[in-house]
Amino acid sequence: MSEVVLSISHLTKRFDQQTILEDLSLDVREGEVVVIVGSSGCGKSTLLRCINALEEIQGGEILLRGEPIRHNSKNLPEMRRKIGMVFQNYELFPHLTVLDNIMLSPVKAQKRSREETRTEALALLDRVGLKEKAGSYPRQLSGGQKQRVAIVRALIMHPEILLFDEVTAALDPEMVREVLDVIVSLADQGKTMLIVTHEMSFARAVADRIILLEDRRILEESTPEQFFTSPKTEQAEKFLQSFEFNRKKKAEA
Amino acid sequence: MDWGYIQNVLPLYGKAAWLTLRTGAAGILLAAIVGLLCAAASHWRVPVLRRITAAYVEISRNTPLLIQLFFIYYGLPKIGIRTRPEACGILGLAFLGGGYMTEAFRSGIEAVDRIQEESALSLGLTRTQTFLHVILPQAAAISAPAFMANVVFLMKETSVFSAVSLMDLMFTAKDQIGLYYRTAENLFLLVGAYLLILLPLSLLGSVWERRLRYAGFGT
Amino acid sequence: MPDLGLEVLWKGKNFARLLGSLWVALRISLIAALISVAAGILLGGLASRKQSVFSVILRVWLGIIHIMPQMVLLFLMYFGTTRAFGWNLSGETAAIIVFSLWGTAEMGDLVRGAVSSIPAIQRESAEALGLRPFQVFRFVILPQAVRRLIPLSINLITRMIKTTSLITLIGVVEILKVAQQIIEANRKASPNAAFGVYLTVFVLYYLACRPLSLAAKHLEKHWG
Repeated sequence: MSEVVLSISHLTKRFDQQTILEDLSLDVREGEVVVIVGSSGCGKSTLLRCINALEEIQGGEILLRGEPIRHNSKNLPEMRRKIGMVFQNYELFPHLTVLDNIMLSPVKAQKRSREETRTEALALLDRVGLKEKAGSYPRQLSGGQKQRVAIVRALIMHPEILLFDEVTAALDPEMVREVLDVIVSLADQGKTMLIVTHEMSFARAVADRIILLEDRRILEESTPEQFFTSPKTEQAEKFLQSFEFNRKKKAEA
Repeated sequence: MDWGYIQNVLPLYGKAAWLTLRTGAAGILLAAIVGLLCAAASHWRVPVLRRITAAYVEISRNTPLLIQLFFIYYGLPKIGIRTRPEACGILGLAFLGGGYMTEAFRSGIEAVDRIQEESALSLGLTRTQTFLHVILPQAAAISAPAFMANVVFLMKETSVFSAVSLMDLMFTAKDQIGLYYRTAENLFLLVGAYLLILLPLSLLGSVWERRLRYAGFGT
Repeated sequence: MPDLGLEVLWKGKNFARLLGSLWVALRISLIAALISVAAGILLGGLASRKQSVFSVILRVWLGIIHIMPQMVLLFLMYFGTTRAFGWNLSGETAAIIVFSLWGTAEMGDLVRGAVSSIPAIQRESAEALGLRPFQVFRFVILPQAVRRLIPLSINLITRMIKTTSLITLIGVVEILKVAQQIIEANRKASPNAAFGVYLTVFVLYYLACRPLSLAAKHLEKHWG
């Protein structure tokens, strides 16, 4: 059994009077790919934001390799460098070139040398097929290209775990595949990842574990095969059914 | 129009214009720094500073520069703070301008999407690094038109500096008219000098604004 | 506690005199504002018509007002008209004229902008009902534009009040002159009067302007 990288215990998150997450516990081990699914607006993104301390939590604890992540702690930037987060809307910095976008944090925050960072940045860009775009600005790139750059930007920090927040939701269908391919290759390399998505076949292909987040808590946790073919809970079944279109033809009535 | 007279008095106007330019520039620069600091304090929600900043902006924007100058030049010495005319002019302009600059920068900073800040923080950059490398560059571009408008406005405001004995353009014109009665020539030079200073600034501002609207800053 | 020179305000009618002289500034602003609003609406309305010559006039007029410091404009009006036309304008009259010219240009621009922002279909449907252009403007366009105009006009008046401080430099006896007189008269008795008196003038101007700018902000939020 590999070591636990991320440990969430009894997490509770409230917005004003509304409880979004209640007493949620989850462990992610090294090399694991955990995929979180669930209906819209039920807290999946919030969960990721809590892990990265972009949101304050009202209860519970989050540990990264045993070290706690707390909202206003002094070493928060340092902890965040060990977590790579990719957002739905890429959030590249529009005033910097692709290369500068990628190099900003390693150089300024991790204090790595420019030469070494640059070499690695170009190598990573090459692996996702975007080496020629190194000097371009985000506005010159397509959505899929921007998202791939965003992934590289997170990767170059050498994080312990990668968080993906519905990263294909804002993309045109033709570009979804190129991004998912990158994530699959990362899984093949043994990266530890926590992915929120509603691309079901992708989830099935890439996940080691699938989690259904609904109604403020984890309702089901299983392997992909089990989840998609014979889900344990009724809510899981209902959830999966919402993805299928069954039209009763008149002739069969 | 007595062109001979104009030629003679041109150096005087030149000196005065230079005075206007350099005191104006110094005051504007100081105002920009004050504005930036106040906008940053406001953005970072530093509790006490935020209230002080808000009060300062209100006061500086609701009182005329002339009063501020009189207060600094004639009033403050009574409690021991003495300033030379030039310093007084610069300070007054900085005080007035700081309020306007704060508003310009604040709206620029606020216009930068919150999630840009979060994206930078997620990469592990500190709050300061995020502010310097991600928020400020984008805010600067957005604030540019308002900033330039303030620059033109503040440069125009320097026309009251003669009230604290600075020998600026207004002073020179008034003085010359009083001495030699050549009203037409002096008014011509006065208007000309201000046009020379203000037109380029104003044009720069409009060009900049048009370029920004054109370029957009899409994600 | 150092002598702040405030007691001089209590002497005789000093404070009342200060307030009275502030009224000079307010009076000038008020008159100029009224003229500006009336003339501005007229000019703006005319300028908002398609390819109107007034649009060009407005643009040039506004450009001049914007590029020249108000101090210079006051100077030109006060000294220049004497030289050019032999008029002998009082400082107050010169100020009212300059401020009216300034205000008309700005109001005209505001009105033009507000009127242009009302969709053409409003005008067209009014005309379809048989109203004549002037009636359309008065009963349909203007009332809608007014909502946007009022906060902006208040902003203009506030700026005018602040600018009236300049008229002391063309010899008008207003609050700054009175302040200077009080300080001079009490030189021996209250050596620190300059601090207290100018501080008071500072506060008075603030009290004159702040409620207006607050009102404008409030209206803009609720009507804008």
